[in-house]
Amino acid sequence: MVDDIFAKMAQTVIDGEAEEAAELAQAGLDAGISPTDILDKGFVKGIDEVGDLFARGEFFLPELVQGAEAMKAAVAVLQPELDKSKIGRKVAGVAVAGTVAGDIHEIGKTIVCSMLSAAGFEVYDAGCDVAVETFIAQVKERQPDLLLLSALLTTTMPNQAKTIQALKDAGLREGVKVMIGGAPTTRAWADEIGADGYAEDAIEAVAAAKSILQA
Amino acid sequence: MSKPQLTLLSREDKTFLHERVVEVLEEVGIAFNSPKALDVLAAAEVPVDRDRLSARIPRELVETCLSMVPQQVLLAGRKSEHDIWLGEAAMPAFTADGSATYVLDDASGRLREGTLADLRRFLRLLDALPEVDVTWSTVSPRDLDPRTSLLEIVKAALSESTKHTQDGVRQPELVSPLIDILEAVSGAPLTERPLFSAIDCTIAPLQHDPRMTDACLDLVAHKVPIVVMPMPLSGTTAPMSLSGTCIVHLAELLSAVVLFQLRSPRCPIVASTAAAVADMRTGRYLCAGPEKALLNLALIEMCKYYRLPTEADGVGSDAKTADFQAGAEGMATGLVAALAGADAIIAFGCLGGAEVTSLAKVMLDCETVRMIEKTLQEVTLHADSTVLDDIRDVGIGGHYLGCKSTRRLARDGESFQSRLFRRGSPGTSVPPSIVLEAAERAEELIAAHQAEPLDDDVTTYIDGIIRDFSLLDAD
Repeated sequence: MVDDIFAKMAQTVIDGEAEEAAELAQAGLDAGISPTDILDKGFVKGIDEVGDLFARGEFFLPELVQGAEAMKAAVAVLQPELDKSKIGRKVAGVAVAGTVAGDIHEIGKTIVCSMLSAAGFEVYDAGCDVAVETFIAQVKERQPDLLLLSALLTTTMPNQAKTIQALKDAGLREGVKVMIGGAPTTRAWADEIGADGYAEDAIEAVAAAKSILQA
Repeated sequence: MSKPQLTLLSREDKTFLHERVVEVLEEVGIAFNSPKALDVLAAAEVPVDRDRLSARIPRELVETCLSMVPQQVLLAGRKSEHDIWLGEAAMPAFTADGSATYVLDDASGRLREGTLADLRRFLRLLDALPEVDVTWSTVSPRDLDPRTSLLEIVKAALSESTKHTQDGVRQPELVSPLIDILEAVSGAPLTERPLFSAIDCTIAPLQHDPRMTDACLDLVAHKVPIVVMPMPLSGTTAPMSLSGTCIVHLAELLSAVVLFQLRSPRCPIVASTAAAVADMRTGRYLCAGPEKALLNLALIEMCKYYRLPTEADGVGSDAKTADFQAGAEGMATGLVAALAGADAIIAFGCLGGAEVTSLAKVMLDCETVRMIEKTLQEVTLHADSTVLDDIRDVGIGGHYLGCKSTRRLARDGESFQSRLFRRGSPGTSVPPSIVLEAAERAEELIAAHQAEPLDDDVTTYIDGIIRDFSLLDAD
């Protein structure tokens, strides 16, 4: 019976049904199931399956993004209970992502956030046109393992360098790995500005994120 | 006279799309992201939201502003023999593609970031090639200061070529020095000799880039032609459907038309059709493929419905090198755009989804363009062209090689002659790569060609403008 509930929870993520996922998360809590069990035996199974199906070429970006949204909706319901129990989620890492100041292109960064979520990361999307100061504040608050900086214009790429310098000035550089991306950026640029990683697309971004954290 | 043409949309389809576009503009709105743009719209009593920097545009205003857009647009060259009039020519103009991050060395297969020296070489090649009508920064140089790179790029374009050039202006503070440079080179106001057109890339869905918009608001005051270039991607920043992507594209396009016509009535606008498809595995921009051809077709027809001159995204490829994929993709997309009646087609140098360029690709694109041009030629089917007398004279059996008409028509271009593609007997071994041969020909042209140089005092003046701006900006 409980296994049926967990299977349904997983299915809401596979189907990308965010509202249903949130409802089932609440129903699970109301039924007295522990939030960690709801997460690990229910929704995480779903997001793992989404990731596997994507890797096999059976799922594509829409399924991935919608699965991540459903997962996010369920976690939003469970988080207060997880906080009370002081049991943290098992995550692959914590990431903050954003498009740099002066740049309102978002889609690439949004896809990377969804892919990282599907890969088990806890992701905070800072949005677009993010000031250097805001990135620094986010790093102080969230203490992420990874900071991902996106730039889609040659004129805004320098803000990736400025953000890395600001991390150094704030004494935060050693505590976070920085990855950059965006169409006009290159591996050479990443090396030039002292980034820890670079990815050409969202699939590469997940592999690079895992690799950087294992290094 | 008959000319091949391709259509997709019925009258009802066009009306349907237009009505949906107007609904989006009136009900969903557009984020201009620029207080200056909102001031222009508010002055025309467009309902604006100053917190969201957005506006909802009434249909009546769309229709009024569309009626103001000139149907012919002059793209002037430094030499008037290279002038292009979009909207009235029988054949499309062909432009370079722009802003690739990498240059591919065709011989070694190595990629490297582009430099100003690379750009100058590409510009020199584009100037040498008769198939090229308009230049663009084929590669985005990485060894320039981003604050002043546009000025250096335009200086290179004007000095290495006497053809019209286009590029994106993302910094409003560069407009004044840019105008000074252009007028110094042309010796005339830009309103008379527009040597430069500005590309305005909107950001899907339904947004404008604030600084690019502000720059264009200043440029239209000088009647610099604006090439409005929405780039929604089916499946990510636009709906997955052809019609949905067209609607988002056209809403962004018409919002730019309204803004710029309000700012500078009757300013020249060119409508680009750069909508494309997202790779459903990676989200990456795909610049070629059958969906792209259909998007081009539908959007060109809609731009004609709106009586806007068009610049279609045409002969580019997602291929990594100038190979079979590149040729197939370029021809499939470019030929459809040409048959749809685009006034200009972006054609030279695009590989890797517009992130890569190579000399061989530029050369081979010329062959594609020449085939497209041949396909577009008007065909006369009256008695002279069928040379009935020759058919009667040659009769049954025999040949036509002895006919004067064969000699005349072969010379007049009835028979297409490729400069690079191989024809003839297979031989006994595979010949050297056509890509390498194309790259070698490019190097020969670059070595041998030089555009008429700018006067020394003009060059000195331009250098002074760039230096002064650089010092001012540093302050």
